[in-house]
Amino acid sequence: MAATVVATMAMATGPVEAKQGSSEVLLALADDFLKGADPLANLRDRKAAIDDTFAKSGNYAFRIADLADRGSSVAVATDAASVSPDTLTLVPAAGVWLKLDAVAARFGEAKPSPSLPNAARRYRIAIAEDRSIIVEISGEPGRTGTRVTKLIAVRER
Amino acid sequence: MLPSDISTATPRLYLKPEGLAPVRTADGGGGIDIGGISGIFDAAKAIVATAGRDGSHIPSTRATVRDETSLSGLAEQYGTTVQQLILLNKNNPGIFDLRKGDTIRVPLNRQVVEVQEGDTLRSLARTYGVSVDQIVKANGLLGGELPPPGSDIVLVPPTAYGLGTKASAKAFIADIKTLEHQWNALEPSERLQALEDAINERLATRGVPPVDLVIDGLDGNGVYDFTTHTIKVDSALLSKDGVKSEDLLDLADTVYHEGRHAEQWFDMARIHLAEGRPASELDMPRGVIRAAREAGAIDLDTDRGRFANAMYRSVYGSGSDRRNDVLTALNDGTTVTPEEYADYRRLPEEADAWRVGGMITNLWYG
Repeated sequence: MAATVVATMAMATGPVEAKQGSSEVLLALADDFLKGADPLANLRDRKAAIDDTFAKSGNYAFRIADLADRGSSVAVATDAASVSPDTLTLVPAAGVWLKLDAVAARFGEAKPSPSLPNAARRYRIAIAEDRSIIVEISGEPGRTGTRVTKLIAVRER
Repeated sequence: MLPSDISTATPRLYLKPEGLAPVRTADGGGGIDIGGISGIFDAAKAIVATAGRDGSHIPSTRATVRDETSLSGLAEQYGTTVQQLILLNKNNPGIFDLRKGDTIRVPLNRQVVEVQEGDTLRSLARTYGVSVDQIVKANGLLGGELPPPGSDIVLVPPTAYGLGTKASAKAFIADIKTLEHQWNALEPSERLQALEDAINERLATRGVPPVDLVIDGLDGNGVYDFTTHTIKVDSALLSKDGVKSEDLLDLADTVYHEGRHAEQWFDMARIHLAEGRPASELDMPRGVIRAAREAGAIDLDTDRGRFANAMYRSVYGSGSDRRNDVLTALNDGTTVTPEEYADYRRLPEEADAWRVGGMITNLWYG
């Protein structure tokens, strides 16, 4: 397994610098969600295009121009018996160079988590017993060009 | 689950080998159609190897031959090998002369795994938590010898359980066929809910907490995420009216495959917790951990325990580095090679999920 990523501030250079504001916005969205904020209200504030086709089941796909691409979604339980946590999934838009280090700096130590068939490099940040962040990255952590491809904020009820 | 965009089919040749009865091809032309030269050798070896054996110990079901009449094509269609098809149909004199409308026995499970360099019967038995004898019997292996690397073999678990039982798969299919009939009268959310109810009713019989089915705005295949205990499904299909039966079959197979992963991970949690290891190492939601604690330990000295433990070792134990390497190669952004795909399919938890999910395909038209 890859080494544990210790929280350190990322150096902002090149494209990171250009889109650093976007990265901060994504991290703020995740942070607000973990703190119990209404994710849909937050997304509307960010002028997100929200698809409510599956609203009755608590699923909302969304996009935010230049910030969050297709694959981004909110899932909230509609059944009290559900043990699946509420989640906010953020897929950084192309050009948003969010780094694992930056996520770790914001939320805490990121530890490798078992891979999924469609996501080999996954990390989990345990924030509290009922709050965590899952991060998927595009390549080896710390390597130039490696970026966050998905960030899932997990809020258990 | 991954898109099956890698063809596992070998080009078929239509030859007439010595010593075998000629077989009609699907288009009515003459010639043998069992899958080319390798298929002929497979069939010839199978005839010898299966002498004195029968396939009564292999869970199977009846199927009607439709467009595909070659043994190799049928083996691929039903996720098995030519050898096992012959073994299952030893009492069917027409097995080498199949025509549309014929009835044959096919395995309930789709279970093909590719033999690789260095494999032995013992190593495979250990990796998959089954016995050497089971592998020999299920494949009709002559002299108990493993076929050469590149060959397909089938792996039958010792005992069917949970989603792996025929009753569970058939009940799930019945629910999905009901959904098919109601499809246009339902909203997308209601279709998603019906799918969720169908898989959760089966999982509940094993004490697995209900999974949530979620969409993420991406088309494509499903995935079970153990960190959230959710199954991601294709929103595009659920959103449109007028679903085709084959599309719904694909979705049902996917949800069942991913549901099997949920069952596997629940068992992994039980094994992990029984060993006294910290729950935090599992990266699973508290509700699943709670239910796993309540369900208690799995006896690892039983057939089922060994089978479940093989998957636990693959994900959280000695096989985890290897597993991560396999999945990293699969997701490195380059074209997936047949070798990489075969490695993925050989992972114990994937071999099991493909086998169990494939039951839906093998039973759908029954």
